[in-house]
Amino acid sequence: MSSSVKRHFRTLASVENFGLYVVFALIILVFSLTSPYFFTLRNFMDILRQSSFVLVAALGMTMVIITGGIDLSVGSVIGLSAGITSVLLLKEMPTSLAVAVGLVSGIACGFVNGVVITRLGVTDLITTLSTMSIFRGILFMMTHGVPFQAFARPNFSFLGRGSIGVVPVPILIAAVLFAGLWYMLNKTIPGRHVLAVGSNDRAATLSGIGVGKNKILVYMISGFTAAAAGIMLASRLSSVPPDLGTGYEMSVIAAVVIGGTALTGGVGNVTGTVVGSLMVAIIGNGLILLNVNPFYQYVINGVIIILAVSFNNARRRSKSR
Amino acid sequence: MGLTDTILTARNVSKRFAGVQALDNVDLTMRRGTITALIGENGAGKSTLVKILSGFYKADSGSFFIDGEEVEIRSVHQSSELGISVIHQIPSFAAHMSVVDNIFLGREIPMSRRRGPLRRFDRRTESDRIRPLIEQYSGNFKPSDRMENLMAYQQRLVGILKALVFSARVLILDEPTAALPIEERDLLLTRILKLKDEGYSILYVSHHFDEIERVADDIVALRDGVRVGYADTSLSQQQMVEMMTGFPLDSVSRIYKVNESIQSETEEAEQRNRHVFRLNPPTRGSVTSKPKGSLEIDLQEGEITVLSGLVGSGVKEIGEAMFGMRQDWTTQYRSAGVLRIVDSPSAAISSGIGYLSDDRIGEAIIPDFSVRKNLSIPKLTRVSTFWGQISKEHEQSITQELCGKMSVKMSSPEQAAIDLSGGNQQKVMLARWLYTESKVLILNEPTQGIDVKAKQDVIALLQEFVSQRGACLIVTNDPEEFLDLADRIVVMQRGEISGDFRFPDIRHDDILRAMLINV
Repeated sequence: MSSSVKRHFRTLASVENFGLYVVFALIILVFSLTSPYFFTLRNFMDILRQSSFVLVAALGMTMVIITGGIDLSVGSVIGLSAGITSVLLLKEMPTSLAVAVGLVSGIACGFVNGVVITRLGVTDLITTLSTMSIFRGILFMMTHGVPFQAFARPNFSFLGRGSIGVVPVPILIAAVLFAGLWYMLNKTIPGRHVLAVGSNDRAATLSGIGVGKNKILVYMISGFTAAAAGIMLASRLSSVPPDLGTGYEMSVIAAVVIGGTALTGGVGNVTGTVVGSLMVAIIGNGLILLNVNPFYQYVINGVIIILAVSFNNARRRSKSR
Repeated sequence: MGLTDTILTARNVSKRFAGVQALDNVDLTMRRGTITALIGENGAGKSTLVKILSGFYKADSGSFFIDGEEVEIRSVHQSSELGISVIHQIPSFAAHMSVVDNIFLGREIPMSRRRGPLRRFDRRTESDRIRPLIEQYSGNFKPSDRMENLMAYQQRLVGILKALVFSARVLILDEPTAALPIEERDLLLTRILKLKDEGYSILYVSHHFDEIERVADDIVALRDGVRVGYADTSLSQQQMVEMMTGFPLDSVSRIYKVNESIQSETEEAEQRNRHVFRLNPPTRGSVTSKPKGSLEIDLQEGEITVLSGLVGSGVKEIGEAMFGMRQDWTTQYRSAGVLRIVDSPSAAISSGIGYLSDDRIGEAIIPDFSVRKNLSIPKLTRVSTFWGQISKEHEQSITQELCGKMSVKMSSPEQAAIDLSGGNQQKVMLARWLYTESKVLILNEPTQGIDVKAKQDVIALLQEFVSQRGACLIVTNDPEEFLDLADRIVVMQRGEISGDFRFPDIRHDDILRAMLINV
């Protein structure tokens, strides 16, 4: 390799999340070459739409993980806020109000998480593990175990099933939330504070930053995005079974971690999370198109997570000598 | 004195570290069954000598004798085989485990008649072995008590008993009363005297001259790696300071800071603003370094004040309380007729106070941030719009300006601050508080762990800061290097102000006396 090529490669390799993009491009390349149906606009829109539900919740989760925390309760918040919105719709509440109350309930869930963690000093893992059970339990009590159905009306179904031009609405919602959180994280004071808290909370405190306040904020953001994902799912499925969202925390955390956000906090961005969510969705989609036994998908998903994270770790280590 | 009266002799011990002569032909003789005190200022070579005796360092030259027989000390293992045991300042324990398990940790006594890697250890035999020792030294605890439930002096005693169990004869106690509540000090000292009565020989390393006056039979003083004094009788605290510093206390010694005219000081003093901090420590709890009552620290603008005392004297806590870092203290700050309550760092910052931690990596630097982001973090409102959008260009220009002024060596404002050298990191941390336009700077050990050139730069910066009507407080355990820039030195001892000196009456020996002598 000539030296100039080497130098270019080095600057390229220093790009944040370089490993992730390489793996991402390789996966697309492999599927494009092996399946005639993969590289089509229609299929891409499908992938984007499928991934948008996980992505929306993962955007908020990114903020939590950047502060060094974790939110295991997102799956339950997805179910609970979807349940609350659908109950209100069944009671003839206007769609906009029902959605708003659903979103607020998600923010409230996040507030509870944040307050328990920062004021009662319970660790994030235990807190959100407990609230995962509590929020799920509330949904079960609301539904008595029977799915909410027949709440759909045209303007509500639009959120999960509609499209503007060729672009499905869930993709637009995800794009708007992405833009908002990207702006907050990269351009504003609260975003800078969140990053500082995750990187060194003691130094952040001594710089006058309220660590507790910022932690509560990120859990509220995570609750909000989980609620948005839940409402989108309710609209998409026209039904809220009591176990809606169960297991979502796994895909959501996976998307964030594949996206290069460090579980130790301080490092991360929502752009990576977009790629992370797409990657999970693309692998699923491509394997189906290739008629691969769906059971293999679990194994392949796990391997991809480990590969992407270890790639990023190696890069981070080499950067810090 | 016959040969058998001395248990340990070290002769002509020298040790050199990267160009610094830490020990230069030092002699040490310990008589059997006595307490020898080792005194000296920070950096005099006490801890180097202790580490050589414990086998942690190897002496460049010198010979050692135990019971009159020449021995070699080349490793920690060898040293403990010879019966030498160091009991460290703050011993490390597994707090949740019992006394007996801690004493035998890693050296458990196995059950007899059993073999193999999974054999159990015999806690009963272990307990039986230490029980008489605990009684003998009136420990007032049981072998099965958990470490965390013991009082601090009892924990220290466990450290000593551990050495006795493993047949130590020479005990080196390194600041045994450090961080010990005052009311427990006597309890520990009587037990140390008891050790002497039982025939153990003790090397007692301490800054606390009142304790040494009480327990020591012999005294050895080091200064700059040289043994400058030896006494085989007990000395008064006054005599100890004289021996350690090498000049009699009554003579006028070095006067520092001769470059400023005294007259102009008095003229301007009237118009100068004062920053008064009134600190109330928590009334409950028994902590050694906590002041007994409320206390007032006033800083004058245009002045560098040094707050100094030994580790455990409370100076660090006071510095932290002034910045609102101690939740259980109440801090009132009055300046220019305005009274503020400083109950958090953020309240301190908005009152115009800046704080430099002595733990740069743990408490100051944000490791994932560039120099630019590290600089602006305490006051982002200065570089952002009303709606909270940060202007990167504004940040960059301020970073360039301040870091250029302070000659920080960096490749660009985007370089990670953690990748800079220690001295440059320290400058960036200082630049933070210039950026926030602080009126008062509290600096905890500001020159710790940075090279000579960076030290000069930091000191020059502080002088410039006060020349522009800033007020500066340097908190330190070792005032020596700040003596010639201080306008005032406040000395604390065990939570109380023991000396307050103002230029031109700043004398090295006065300060040492205030730090060390307890009346």
